[in-house]
Amino acid sequence: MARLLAILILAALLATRSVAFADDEDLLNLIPETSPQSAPVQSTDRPYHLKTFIEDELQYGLVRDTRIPDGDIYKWLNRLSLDLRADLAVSPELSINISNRINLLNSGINTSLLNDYKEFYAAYKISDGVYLDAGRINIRNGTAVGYNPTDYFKVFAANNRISDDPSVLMDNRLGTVVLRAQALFEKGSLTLAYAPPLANPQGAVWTAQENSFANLGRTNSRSRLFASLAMTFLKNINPEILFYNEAGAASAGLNLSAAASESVIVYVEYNGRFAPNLLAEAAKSTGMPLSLSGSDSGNRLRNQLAPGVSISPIKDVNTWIEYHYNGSGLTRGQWTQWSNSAAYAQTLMGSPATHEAGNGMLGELWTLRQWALAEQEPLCRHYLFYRAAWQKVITRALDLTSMTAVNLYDWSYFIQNTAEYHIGGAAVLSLTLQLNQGGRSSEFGSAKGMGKIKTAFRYYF
Amino acid sequence: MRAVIILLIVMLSLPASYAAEKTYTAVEIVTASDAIRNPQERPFSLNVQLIEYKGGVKDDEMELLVYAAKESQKSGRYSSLVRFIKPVRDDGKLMLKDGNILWFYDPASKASVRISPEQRMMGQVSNGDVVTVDFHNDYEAHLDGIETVADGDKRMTECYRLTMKAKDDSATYDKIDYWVAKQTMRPVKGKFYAQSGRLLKIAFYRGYRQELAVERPTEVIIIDGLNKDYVTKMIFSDYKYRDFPRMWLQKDYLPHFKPE
Repeated sequence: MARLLAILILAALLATRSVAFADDEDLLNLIPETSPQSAPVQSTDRPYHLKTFIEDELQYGLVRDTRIPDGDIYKWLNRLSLDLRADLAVSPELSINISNRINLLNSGINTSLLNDYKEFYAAYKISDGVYLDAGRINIRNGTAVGYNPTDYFKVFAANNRISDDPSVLMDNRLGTVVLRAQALFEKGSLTLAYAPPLANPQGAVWTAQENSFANLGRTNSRSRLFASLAMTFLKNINPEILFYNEAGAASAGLNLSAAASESVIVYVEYNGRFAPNLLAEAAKSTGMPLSLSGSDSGNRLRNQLAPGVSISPIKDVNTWIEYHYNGSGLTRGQWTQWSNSAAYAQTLMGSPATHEAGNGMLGELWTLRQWALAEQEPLCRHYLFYRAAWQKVITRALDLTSMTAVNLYDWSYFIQNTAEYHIGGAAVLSLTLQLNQGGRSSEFGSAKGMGKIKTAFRYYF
Repeated sequence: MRAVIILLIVMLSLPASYAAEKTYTAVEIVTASDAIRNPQERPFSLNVQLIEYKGGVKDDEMELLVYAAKESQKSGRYSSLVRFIKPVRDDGKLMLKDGNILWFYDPASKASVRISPEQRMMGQVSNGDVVTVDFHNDYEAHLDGIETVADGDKRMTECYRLTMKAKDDSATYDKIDYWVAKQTMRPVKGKFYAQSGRLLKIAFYRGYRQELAVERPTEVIIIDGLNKDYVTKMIFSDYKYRDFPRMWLQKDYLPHFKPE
């Protein structure tokens, strides 16, 4: 009895020191029974890094009759691409960087081979934090996702014949031949870049996608100067100030981002351009006579803005919501005129006497659309943009992404939904559905390509 | 009767033995355990392998190389650069934690996108888990008492039990229940909570091994707070001191990064 009493008292004493047996036992049974071991260590002392993938994409285009002409829309198109990115360390200070993609396009009617020399440059480390780079470099700027007004080197850099998927365009664009110097400090960085004119402009719209060696006419037809100052001394806000001058037309930009909470990032991207508006730029560069009013060739301040918010509402889901403003784009009045012109041009084309005039007018509308596409600037002033990415849907191998851009004048929209299925760590199978929807004279509703269904297989070596 | 006498002797001896022990504050305990988890004096790198299990079956795998350096000895906070090695499709991608700011960089698009610490990296591991963090900088610690818990190797271990509250919004978690071995100051276990009070994950630190002159945990087992069938194992190896300049750890360095 005394022994029992002693045990009870001892147990009570121990209990006051709180022992968490049951909870821990349950959890520990879930731990995979493997002994601690060293993780395989990847050798990082190779003098080179190489990443290569091959991708085949088959697309079916849904074509419709529209008033406004559009680019070549193929019903069937197969793209086979070989993408290579390599950097080779020549010495501890000097490296050579190469990025190249070969695309074989087959529409069933014709076949073409396109080679994009995306990057080829030498990077020299003068000292810790001071770098000098020379060659063709893809310089990216901007904190927004759907539209980057401060991404100055995007103009004519994307190959729209490869894809109209914004993410593919982003991965597959030409760098610009520049001399770039960059100094990194403890609390920021300063970047200076100069892009010399090296080739004649490659027909800005009609032949912009022609494939000449290196396509320097798309990226280095004019003199360009770029500077940026990034500051990292603030606890949560990351400001970056940018300056850009293209053949006398200056721009100044600002990128800001801040965390509003653990799962919410707010950001804004602003650019002020002293340049002609989109109508005047398109007319000047293409030599196109304009029937639309509102062309302004003066170097006036054009504001461009992309504020947005990134939210991770639940695990594995990320969303981005942005408003896009392009002060250089068409006003509501000009847009209405653009839409009405399409109908009027169709009427003119109905009569042999006025057919030529109607055809010219439609060519003008088409040119404007193509110009905005090549410049990667919104055609009109106001848009809403939404993107959502959901990883590991049902199974860990399935990712879904959805993207929508809405023209706030006519509420027409472009929507793209993609499902990606990962097979191991090296292969990806994807299915993409695109849709341009809206009224007959709306921006997206008037696109000849109503939509596309694409399936692709990518394999990384 | 003899048992009662023995018990009385035990009872009387307990306060005496406690009195002989040095008492530590909550901050001292967390700081000491931080020094075991992370090298403190010099920039370093380590290899991190993440293995995700579902119902005990391996489901996914990832490998990273993490470079970490203190922003300054005064602030004590780390900045980290994470290089993705596996899977091959992610090879070369980078994640940077510069102060409280997280960036994701893809060399293919040259785009740097700001991301939140709560975003998931793989399995039960969020971005905030793979970057190096000293808890005593980000959390206000309170010592709740002594508790004996099972460690990651199922051994009963006498621990300090602490409650840590986030000092501000920049911390990855709102609250952490934390157990530190009383004898060794080794981290043993943590329970990590969201602002809503929801239990996000439970972590066990184990596989202690000599790395950079200190016995450090080389495995962290992370169990999902909602579905306990989801377990992720983080394996740390190849610790190295790296004397890289602090200026590496900012967004504009990312395009220049070359693995060393």
